Amino acid sequence: MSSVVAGPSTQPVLEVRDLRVSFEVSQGGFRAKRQLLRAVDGVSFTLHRGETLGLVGESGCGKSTTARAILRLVPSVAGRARVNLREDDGPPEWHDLLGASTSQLRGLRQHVQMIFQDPYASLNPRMTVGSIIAEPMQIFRLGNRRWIEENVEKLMREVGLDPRLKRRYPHEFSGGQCQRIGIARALALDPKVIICDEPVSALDVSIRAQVLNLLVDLQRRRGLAYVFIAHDLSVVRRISHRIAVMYLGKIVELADDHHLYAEPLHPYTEALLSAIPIPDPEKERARKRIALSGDVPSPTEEFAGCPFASRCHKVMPHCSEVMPKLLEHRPGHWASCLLHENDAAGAPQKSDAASSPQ
Amino acid sequence: MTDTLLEVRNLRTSFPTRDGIVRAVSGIDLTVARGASIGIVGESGSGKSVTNLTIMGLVPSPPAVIEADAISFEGVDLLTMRESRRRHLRGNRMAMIFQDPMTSLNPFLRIGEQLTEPLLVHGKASRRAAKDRAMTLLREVGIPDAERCMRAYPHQFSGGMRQRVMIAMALTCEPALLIADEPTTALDVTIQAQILEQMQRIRQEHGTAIVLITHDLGVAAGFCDEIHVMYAGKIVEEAATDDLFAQPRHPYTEALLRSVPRLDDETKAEFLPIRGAPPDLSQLPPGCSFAPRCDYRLDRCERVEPMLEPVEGRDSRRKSCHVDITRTQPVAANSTEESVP
Repeated sequence: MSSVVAGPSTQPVLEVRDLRVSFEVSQGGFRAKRQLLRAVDGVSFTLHRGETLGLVGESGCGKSTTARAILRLVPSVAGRARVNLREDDGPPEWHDLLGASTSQLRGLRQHVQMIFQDPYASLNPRMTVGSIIAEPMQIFRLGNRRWIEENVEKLMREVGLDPRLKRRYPHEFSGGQCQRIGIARALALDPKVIICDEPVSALDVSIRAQVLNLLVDLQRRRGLAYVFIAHDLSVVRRISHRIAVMYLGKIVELADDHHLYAEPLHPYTEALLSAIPIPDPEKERARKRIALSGDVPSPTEEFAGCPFASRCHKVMPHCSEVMPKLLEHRPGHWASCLLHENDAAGAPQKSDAASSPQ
Repeated sequence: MTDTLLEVRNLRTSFPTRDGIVRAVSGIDLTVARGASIGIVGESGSGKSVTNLTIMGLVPSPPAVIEADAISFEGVDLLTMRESRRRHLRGNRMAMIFQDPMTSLNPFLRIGEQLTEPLLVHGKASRRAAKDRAMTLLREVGIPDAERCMRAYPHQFSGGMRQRVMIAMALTCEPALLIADEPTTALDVTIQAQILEQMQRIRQEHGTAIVLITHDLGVAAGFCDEIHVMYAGKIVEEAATDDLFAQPRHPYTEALLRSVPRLDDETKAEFLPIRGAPPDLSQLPPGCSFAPRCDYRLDRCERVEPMLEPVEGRDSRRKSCHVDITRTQPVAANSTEESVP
């Protein structure tokens, strides 16, 4: 079978280091004490050109907030996120996203675009499809009217929409087509990175495959890098080169797709994988499901040890006391679990660059 | 099967709208035996929810037009039944749980009040006995601190806990039939696994028949003994779960199974979508509704509507298709562009 996912290059395009986002929330009554909710608690990863990094986890694990913080749609309290604007394979030209001024940020956002979950809610219902796709090009003054007009038609063809429909409004399109419009808008500025936040979750299964194929196809043609946020691990497996599993604001495991599914190191990844139904009754009966007890704890809780300890099926006595570190246990395979901490390849290192997943 | 609980013959539910008559369900037969677990699988708009809401008597008519040759439940005809008697059945002998537990629970009432309500309304228990029963049920669906749960309000719970409460509520009167409409779709996968397991246990222990409505073929594969696949308001294929997944006989079932990426599939092969989009239910084509998207289409398919007929002479396995897809090569799809709205 032909492989559709092209191999990524080694040139990094997006680097996130120790990203932290927290919100002040009050829980309970009117005068309740304000608490700190750590939505993203020290997330680091590097994304390469032409690569898809899957970001998975259950609701509330901070995967969407991570994406939003990179684009500064929510303020982050600490960390770094930078984008490499170098076109060729030469030394990277890093531009800081989190420290950029408002006008600088605007320029940088041209290179990092986003596709949202709800295809209807993310399109202005009063604008025609043509003007929705043209708007980013007008804002960035990429060309004159004629040029923009032509580009809109080109983009529509590229995402599989008939350019004759450009004067129609979003409500005249189906969910799958609206998502194509959203993709065309994201492509309008010729970005290097597209952050896809659950791009197919709202679509029916038969339509889902159409949109996923389009994303893969665009990546191959344009060398795009994706951060692909989803809760459906079956989809993520097919589309991603590497996958990061998040739990309560932290990446608990990061590996290439083969190792993550075949030999998961973190008990949470194991449980997550075992819970996903497979459309094959015989396999379903033969599978052993790891039952997690209880719910995800509140992210306002303070943890001295591993945040997963309360639900873990492999919990050890010291798990709730010692915080595990995200360490590289095999080349490219990172996990934060005390079970494996002793056999990690090399002792934990102090330097930021060395101890962050590349 | 002799011990039939629910029997539906040629059910049709349609909604007159400004743009014409929307035929949400157009001719469904469904037989549910006591203690069975039946899956109804389909995409949004396939009529799976409307079918079950109609069976529950929860589709207001008018405006909806409901017609059927027969709907009988425990041997009683539901079609001609007065609303007051119907209400006596609902929540008592037949119960339903919905996708979104938050919108199905009353935010102003404590869980305990909502849980005991069915028993009190149906006059099945005293206040005290109802409370005991509610607590037992909460423990049964896996809520550890039942006492505290009874006094809590819905907003104090997570989605998974709320869905457990919903299940407990549906079970209070020990119904013979439980219709679960996408009960785990709004939940995370680890919680989904817990809930499905809980429901399976309840079915085994109480002999409750469960009709599970889902779009997730994986969920249906693990939960149901028998599956009905719906498309555009009709059942296009029905079979025992193992048979259906081993060899789908309807082109839609086959295409649906192929389009879903599987966790155990390590290839990076292209996704195989179904081209086009489902039909407009107010303008259904004269022949097979799936014909415009079908890779096996014959000329006849666009003119003559196929009937749901037994495959290989077995009554448990039926499909509505003119083509024997096991002996026919699909015609290569040459147009992948989506249809113009």
